[in-house]
Amino acid sequence: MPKDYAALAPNEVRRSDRAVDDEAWIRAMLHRAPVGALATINEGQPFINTNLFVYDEAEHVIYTHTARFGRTRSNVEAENRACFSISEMGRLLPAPEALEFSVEYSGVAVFGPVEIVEDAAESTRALQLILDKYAPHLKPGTDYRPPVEEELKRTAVYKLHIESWSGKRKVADPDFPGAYLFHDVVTLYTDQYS
Amino acid sequence: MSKDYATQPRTDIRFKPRIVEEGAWIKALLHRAGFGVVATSHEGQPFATNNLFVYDEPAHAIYMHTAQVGRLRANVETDERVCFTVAEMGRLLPHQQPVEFDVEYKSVVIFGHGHMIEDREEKRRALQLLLDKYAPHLKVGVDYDEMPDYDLKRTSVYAIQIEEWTGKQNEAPSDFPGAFPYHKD
Repeated sequence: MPKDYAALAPNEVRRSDRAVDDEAWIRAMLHRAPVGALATINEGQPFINTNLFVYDEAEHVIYTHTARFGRTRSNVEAENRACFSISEMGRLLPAPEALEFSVEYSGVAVFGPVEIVEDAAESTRALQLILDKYAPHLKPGTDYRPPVEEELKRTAVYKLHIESWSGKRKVADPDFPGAYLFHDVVTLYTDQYS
Repeated sequence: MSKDYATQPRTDIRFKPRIVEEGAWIKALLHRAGFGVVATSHEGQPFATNNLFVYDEPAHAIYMHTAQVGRLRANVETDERVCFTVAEMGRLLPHQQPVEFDVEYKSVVIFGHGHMIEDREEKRRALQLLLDKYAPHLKVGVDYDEMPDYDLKRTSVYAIQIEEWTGKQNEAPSDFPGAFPYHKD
């Protein structure tokens, strides 16, 4: 009998054989992921956008830095629940039977409410965390002027309080027969459209 | 004064210079994207799911091969509205002023209706389109077997009928000072 997903916790993973319970693995993935997709809703209509972000382990929150006004803001002001997703695609895994084709991947889904950070000191700290993640070779005061509270008024920092998360992964043997990267074959497919 | 986004069309893009109107550009990005993220909702709780997918130009639809039962199916059975996105990240663009730090990207956002394909032949066609995209170097009947009817029955294919889409891009000159790719090991 199929499970009634409506009655389950948001972070319930159907394929329990693919679920990753190792929180250190989830944290490491959140630290290295280049972008994440934030899903919000407005009166039942889902929206999703892709953003740079940083995972603040100390506060157990995710910060994104975007426009002062926009869709994300108006959505979370009316309904603050959100889902944030990151993923990495690995090799494609061919099989003799079409429906057995598979793919390697790692993914994390995070659930929690989003808050618009109003405190200037916190916004400044969050922006510095984002800069430290994306530009670790550049230093404030040397390569760029440190963030000042005044300039943050033109932008907005969003904070997702992590209430629950789930990790999911599929990895095949390194010598899986015929495994390949989509990147290496994609032009064979897209050539027909160019 | 800020716009009230709740009353704007869902495809409204705040920052006009980033909009890409060209359909061919949007289609090309959809064809080459390795995976997409689909957002659904259930009683006010949003969900985001990553999936392999194929964009079918003639049907103007997105197909994904998913589980028979699961969150995605349960959600669209009560509310079929979905949002789907693909994105590519380019170089990071440093700036003397920290709030002016920027990033190159290309992205597409799609709004539409999600449903499970019930018709066997429509399912077969969608699955073959997925195989043609992800395994263009492999041929059915040569490198792998055709899909038997029995297998098709226990497989589910999820379709998003595209109603609207938007494209967005930020691209800097190739000699942008200090531009660098994101790397993290």
